Parts: sequence; structure tokens; C-alpha cells
Amino acid sequence: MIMETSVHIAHFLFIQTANGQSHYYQNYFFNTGASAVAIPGSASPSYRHAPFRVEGALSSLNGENSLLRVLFPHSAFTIALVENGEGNRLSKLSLKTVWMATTGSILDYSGYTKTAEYEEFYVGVGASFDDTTVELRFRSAMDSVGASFPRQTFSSKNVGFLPLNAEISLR
Amino acid sequence: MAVFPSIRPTGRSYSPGQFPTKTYRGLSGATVKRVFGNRSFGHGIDLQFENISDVNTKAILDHYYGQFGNYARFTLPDAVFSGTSSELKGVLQAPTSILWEYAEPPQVESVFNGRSTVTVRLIGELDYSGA
Repeated sequence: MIMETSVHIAHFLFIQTANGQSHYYQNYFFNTGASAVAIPGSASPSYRHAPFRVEGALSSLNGENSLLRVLFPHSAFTIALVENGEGNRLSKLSLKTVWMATTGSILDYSGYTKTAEYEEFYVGVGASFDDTTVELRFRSAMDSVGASFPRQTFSSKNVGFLPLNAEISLR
Repeated sequence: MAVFPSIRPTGRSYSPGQFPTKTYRGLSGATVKRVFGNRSFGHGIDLQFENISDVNTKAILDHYYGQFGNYARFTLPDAVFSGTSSELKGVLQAPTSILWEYAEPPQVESVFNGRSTVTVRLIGELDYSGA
């Protein structure tokens, strides 16, 4: 017998650009009747729909920063998103991957419940454009301290001056 | 919002849209499905206008150029769904959040003096107008 399971997956992202502006977007609920929706079953902030795609988060045993790409359509609001983030080099990103189930119509937002949620944090490291897409690039907010983990803690003695980007290395 | 010319077709076919899903199938044959959106997209309507006048043929071509080909989206008038009940027309004419665009340029076949047969293929896509 073939067993079948369905899961509804949505991304809810929060980007804070360098000028302090907050942007909340989700890529699942389209035209629900409200301009923005919260994560189902939670009292989260409201997220507007945007047709973005998330790709490329990687992690390794060595614990290097994982790289994430968020792809938006090339439109006025995404250009503003990049420019307000100084080319997306100073933006902060919180990405929530939300698994949901629905008991009723797939069209009905009120019928959805959250079954799991995973949150990751990233910092902006740049952006690129082409004629249809704006790509925002992010790296995970903290690097591994490698073989010395967890016997050492971060201090100016072992990492020097705190860097302005996400790359911290032991001295 | 532009509207397709109000001309009654002599033939019409409709295919419903699909939902954004992906399926993983294991070696055992078991499948796991994922859904990535709450709206359907990719609806299709093929229209045939047999032996219509040059005036109506020009109206369709003018509309095609007015929409910059497949660039701008539009709605469909009641005449396109002539012969269907109001309940069915509600489903066919305006699926939720869907606007129509040309899937390909209209095909015009001249059949007699002042008469042409025009075939139009349309697709209905989710219209995202900006965040």
C-alpha cells in the first residue's frame, strides 16, 4: 500500500535593513483577504505576501558560515530593500521555516495550524541583480570556533577586535 | 483593467489550474508531498472564433497588441462564457486571484472574403501586483 503524507511549508522572513526599517514577508498565503497574516496559531507579527524563494543554506562539520540566498522578483520594493541595506551588507535576517497542516480548504487561512517551526539568523553579505531577479545573499550570524570548542569563549584576546561582518576567527 | 473583446466564441475548452506541490517518492513507492502555496495557477482556456467578421478579427488583434502580447493581464467578459450556467461561469471566468494573459499570439486563418477563423490560447496566472 502506498502511504501518502502532505505537509504545507512556508517561509516567514523578517529583514531589518541598515536604516532600521523592518520588513516582514511570507511566501505561502496569497490573497487571503488580509494584507498580511501571522504565523498560523501564533501571535507573531503580520507578514505580507511576497513571491520570494529561499535557497542554499549549507552547514558542514567544520562549522563554516552557511550561505543563504533569498531570491525576489526584480521590482521596486526589492530594489528598495537592497538599497536600504547598503547593498544588503548590513541587513539582519530572521528566517522561519514553518510546517503547517490544514483541516479544511487549502484556500482558507483560518483552517491552518502550525506543526513545526525552525528559525535561523543571518546577516547580509551582498546582493546581485539580473533582469528578472534580485538575489540577496546572507551568511549565518556566527562562525564556529573549530577544534577549541567548547573550551574557549569569545573575547578580544582570542578573536581580536570584533569584526564588522560575520567572519570571526581564532587568533 | 483591460477586458477581452466581447465576442461569443464558437468553441471553448478549459483546463483547471494546479497547486504548487512537489512529491518525493522513496524506493518503496511511498510518497511524501509538500505544498508551497494556497492558490492554484496555470489555468488554461482555448477559444475558437470561426468565420468572424474582419471587424471582430481586428478587435482581437488590437487587444493582443494593446496588452503588449503576453505582458499585460486582463479579464474575460461574459460573452466568452456564453452557454454556461452562472454557477459554472463563476468558476471558469475568474478563478480566485487569477488574471488572464495570452499563451501565444492569436492564430488568424482567412476563410472567405471578410471572414476569418481566429484561435486564441489564454493562461490564467496569479497576479502579484507588489508587496
